[in-house]
Amino acid sequence: MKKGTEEIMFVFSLILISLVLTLAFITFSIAGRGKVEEKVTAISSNEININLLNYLRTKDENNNTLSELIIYSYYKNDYNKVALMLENLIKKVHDKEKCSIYYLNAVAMKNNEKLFEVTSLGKTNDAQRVSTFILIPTLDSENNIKINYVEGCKNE
Amino acid sequence: MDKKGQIFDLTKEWIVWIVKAIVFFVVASMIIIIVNIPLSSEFKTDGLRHSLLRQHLIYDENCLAYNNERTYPGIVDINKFTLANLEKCFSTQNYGAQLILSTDKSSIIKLNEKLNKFEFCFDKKNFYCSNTTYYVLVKENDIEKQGILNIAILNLK
Repeated sequence: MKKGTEEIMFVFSLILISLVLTLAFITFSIAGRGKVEEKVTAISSNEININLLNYLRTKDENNNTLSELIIYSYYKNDYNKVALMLENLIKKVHDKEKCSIYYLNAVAMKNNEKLFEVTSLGKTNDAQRVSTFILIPTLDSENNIKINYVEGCKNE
Repeated sequence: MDKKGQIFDLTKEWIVWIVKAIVFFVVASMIIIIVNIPLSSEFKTDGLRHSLLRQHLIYDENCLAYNNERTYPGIVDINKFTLANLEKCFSTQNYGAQLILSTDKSSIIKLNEKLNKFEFCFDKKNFYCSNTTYYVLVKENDIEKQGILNIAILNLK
């Protein structure tokens, strides 16, 4: 092979190597960035279930639990007192820093009628909403009262 | 063919090869990216493990749950809120925990203190931390009090 041809081949091989290296770098950096992280938090609802359970277990000044008061209010068809008590309780004990959103409502299951609701005004874009519910039985076996509870908390 | 013509031919050939090589590497890169996407997905189970440990502390009668003929998850027996009892029930060396129970007074218990000697979770680069607050009822001498239980757990990444 002539000297001139060899030199040209050498230059081109250098260009080719640099091209290969650049492409390899681009490829692996893009692939590295595309890493998918899956966070598994499947049982969060069990955790807020404790909060809801304890809201309903909390007793008033007459030693009645809030779940008993909900039933009492259901038969009296007046939910003002129990809704106010729940609102004050949640405001007092709820972790506002981490979970600025909460929503609780009571629904009569027979006709899907909303009985009352308690809600926060908090808003956050970075919120993971977790929900749970508890059924409170009434004397009418077909009509349970379903208490739905939602918390919206910042992602960790 | 003169020398100039030879060099021109050779250059033309190399340019064709470079184009071929670029096409080859673009295709190869696409294949590598496609293969790599599912391979680089990573399941972060730290949150799940922390959640299980917290629930173990709250639901288990050997940990904090009040027991009277049956177990009441979410009701904390104040007699069980001791370092000795919680060390028995939280018998893992890989996780550190800090429990703060606030009623009319506040008590703190730190478990596996070698992992959280200083301020809890000060080093977020090396530790995975979680922090959850529960509304609990605290049973103390048959009296039920309202309380806040904060459970923070950490482990080395």
